[in-house]
Amino acid sequence: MSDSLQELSFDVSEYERPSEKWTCGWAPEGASCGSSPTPEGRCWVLEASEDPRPMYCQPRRVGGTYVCSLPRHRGGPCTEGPDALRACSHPIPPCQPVLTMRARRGRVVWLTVAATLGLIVAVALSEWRDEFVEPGELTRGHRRMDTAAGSDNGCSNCHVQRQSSWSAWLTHGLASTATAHCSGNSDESCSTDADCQFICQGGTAAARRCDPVDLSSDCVKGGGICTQRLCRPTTTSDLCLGCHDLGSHADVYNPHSADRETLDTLSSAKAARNEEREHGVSIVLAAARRLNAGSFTENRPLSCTLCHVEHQGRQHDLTKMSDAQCQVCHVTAFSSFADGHPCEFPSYSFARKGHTMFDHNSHYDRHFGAETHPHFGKEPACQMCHEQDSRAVQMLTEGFEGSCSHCHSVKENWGDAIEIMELPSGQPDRESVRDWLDDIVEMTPFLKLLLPAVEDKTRASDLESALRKWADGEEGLERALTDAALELVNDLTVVGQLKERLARPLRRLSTFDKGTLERLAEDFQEILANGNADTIRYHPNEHPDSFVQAWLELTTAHAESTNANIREIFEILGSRDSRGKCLYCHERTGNTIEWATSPAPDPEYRWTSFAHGPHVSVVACDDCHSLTALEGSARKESDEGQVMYWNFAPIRKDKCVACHDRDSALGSCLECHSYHVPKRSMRTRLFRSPAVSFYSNELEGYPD
Amino acid sequence: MIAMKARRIVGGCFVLFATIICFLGYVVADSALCPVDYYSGWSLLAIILVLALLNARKKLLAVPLGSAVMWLGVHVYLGVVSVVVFLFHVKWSAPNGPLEATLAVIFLLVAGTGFAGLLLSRVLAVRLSRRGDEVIFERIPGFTNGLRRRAQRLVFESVKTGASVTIADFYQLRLARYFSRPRYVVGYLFGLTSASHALLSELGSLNRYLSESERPIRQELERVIQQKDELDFQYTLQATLKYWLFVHIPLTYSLLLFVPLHVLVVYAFSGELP
Repeated sequence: MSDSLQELSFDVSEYERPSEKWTCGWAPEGASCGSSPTPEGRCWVLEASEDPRPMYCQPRRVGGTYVCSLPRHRGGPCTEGPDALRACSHPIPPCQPVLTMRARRGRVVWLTVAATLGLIVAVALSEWRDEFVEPGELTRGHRRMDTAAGSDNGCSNCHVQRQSSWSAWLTHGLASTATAHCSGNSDESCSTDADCQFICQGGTAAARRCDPVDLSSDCVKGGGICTQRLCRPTTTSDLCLGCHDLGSHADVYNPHSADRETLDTLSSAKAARNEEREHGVSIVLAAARRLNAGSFTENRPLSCTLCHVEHQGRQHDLTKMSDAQCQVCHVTAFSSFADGHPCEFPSYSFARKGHTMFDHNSHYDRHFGAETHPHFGKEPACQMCHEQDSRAVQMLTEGFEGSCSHCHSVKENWGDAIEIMELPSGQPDRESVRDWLDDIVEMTPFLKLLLPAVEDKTRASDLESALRKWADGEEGLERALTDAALELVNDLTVVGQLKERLARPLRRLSTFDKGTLERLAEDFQEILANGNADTIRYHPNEHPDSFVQAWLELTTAHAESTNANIREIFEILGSRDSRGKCLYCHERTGNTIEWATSPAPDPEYRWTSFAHGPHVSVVACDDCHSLTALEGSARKESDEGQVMYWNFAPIRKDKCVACHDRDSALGSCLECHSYHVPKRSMRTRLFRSPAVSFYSNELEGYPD
Repeated sequence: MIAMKARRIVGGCFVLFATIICFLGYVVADSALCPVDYYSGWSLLAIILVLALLNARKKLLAVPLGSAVMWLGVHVYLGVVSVVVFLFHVKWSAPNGPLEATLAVIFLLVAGTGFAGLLLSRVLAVRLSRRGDEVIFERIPGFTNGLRRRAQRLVFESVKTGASVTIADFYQLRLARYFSRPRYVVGYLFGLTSASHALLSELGSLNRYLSESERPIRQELERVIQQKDELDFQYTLQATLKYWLFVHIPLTYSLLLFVPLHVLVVYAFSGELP
């Protein structure tokens, strides 16, 4: 500064008190009295009780006179000096004290605090309290459920906290452990009896108001049933599982929702392989694995919210997991799919082979060329016989008509007609039946199977011996045989009787499928109606042939039985070169025949998922499924001597790595693996509980 | 100066180290499926409470709790760390819910005003010290009024001695408003060192119309204007250095009131607490 405005020496400078609340009202005028107002903000001059009024100075005696003692910072001794009474002639004028800056800031603080508290109280008492505390939008599916709910904005659908009040929130935030039993159910312990509730099973309003005697309750109206009293769910995960049925409650909180025994078995097997535990993993992953070690045990199960974090916006991916999060629990960890992924897919082949005896090698090279069969064109393609399913996941076989029938024509390849039986010509009566029995040379096993009653009536061990006795002239047999034959001929015209006659020999053996029997009876009836009057023959002329198929299904299980007729029928229809040739292509597994062409064996837990759809558009089929020579192919022989080949080389991982590399989003674990792997028995139930179905239906056409 | 440099290096290293620890801790805990939101939330609350203790430290002058400089340094560098923890807590995205958004806005305002205060204290204090003597802020209004009265006395003197109203008219027209309150505040805040050049130039141009006896009065009036100019500069910069706390501190209390509400709601609606 050119000219200093202030001097700071002790005797020339006013003493400032910025930390006090009030300051002299004359200070802004540069005429502060030098003293502080009272703490209440009143001028001390007005408060002073002394008389006379406070003055600026106390005159001091110098020699024989009194002189002004005003200090230098107030201008020094005044010219007027003390009055006649030796008092200062300048009384201090009272002021209106003003707040110091610090005090003003304090007032702003209090105003802000009051405004904040007011806002909180206003929100607490308002109707949109729940909206205010909602931490964010739900994802699409949960948002629909939220808006479909009642007065509590649907919070109680997913949160154990079920009352919308601050006190309830506070209580729940400090929740205590369960102490009381639900009446009528000693297994259930809740914190209070009020926490016990009837649980709604089924219907469209699961987990909503439930009262077994109130027909207007949500549960009853929604078609559900109020069952026994249970504690309200005590965790959010319990509520999640109210809609998302992931299987047994004992397993669902385990990693992958798999049973503990399976997990332990897999982990032990993995550990026993003595592989490198951590292959090229980052420091972060290594640290996370040590931090997580042993975290998720039976005593500390996983919760749904650990991974599925809601209220992150409608577009949030609830199922997103990082590769590190996947690997943090596993026995072995690796840097990427390309580097260290433990599976090279060496066994991918036979384990997933379908049930059709099909030799790709011979067909591809020998039969599918243009010269051999013009139907398939010059370059044989897999799509000739295979097509994607509706979800573009599996490659299905087009079936017999679409792929096989061009070469394997039913009429040309399936041999002679099957002789079923001979029947009396004309209107059956005792005379014609007796003549028919007399003329019959050899009974077919079908006929013998249908004439069992005669064995009882003739006291013969079987029908053939009875006929032999009758031919030898044994008395009494003619009538019995004639009656039986006449009865058979009559029964053949009535579906119900025929079915009963077919069922009788089978019933003696073991259980059989009644549906198959009914189908067979109907087909049989149709054949009899359309056949010649005296000789019934059957020529398979379509694929699948329900008549032959039904016979095979009924007799397969008893192919080794003591009933010679059943054995013989199975031999006629079931041998590899039989008429019909069903087992030429279809595999017989134990007592059943696998009619489906390519159902991959469904594992107990499906750890990996693969969709053909995205792959067939970028790679050719033989890029992954390369044929191998027959001698190098895997081979399997069935009980019937059927030989099944798998003509494809194992898929090499480097084929996959070409796209699923480390730097690509396609290289993540979840690209091929699903976290939740419910048991096979649970798969049809997954996400099919009444509540989810209800909301899924509601979601149709609902905008994002 | 060396001590300040050393403090800044130590503080910068602390922030860098804390940021790395936060990042690694977050990534490791997230990979280990630990509830990182709880960890980061409670860490943030602890840091905020430590930061708020600076105000308490200022009130506890008698208790030996370390120097104010040390506390301020901790406040500044820990404040930077709190922003890092906050960003991890909100997962580097804007909160969606009204309560969380309110809380985030308040936190960012507190942090923003804090950084602004830090910046101002670095920039304005240097400018103040470069200018020369500082005037005690509380005295500036008194000095301003003193200068106004002095200018008025000079005007009366000019009328009395020069028998002319040239200076008086000029005062009435231009200087009365100038002396009434601090002027050119925005200009001084953004780096202007002297805003009264135009005024002094106009006053100088009056010289040709003044008598010999009035000219010394004009020169004295020029000095008064220069002093008022100096006071305005001091007032602007010092007021700015004090008034940013009028936003920073109240919002801190507001933040401390919203945090328990947030914690209550989180725990009330949590399924499984860690």
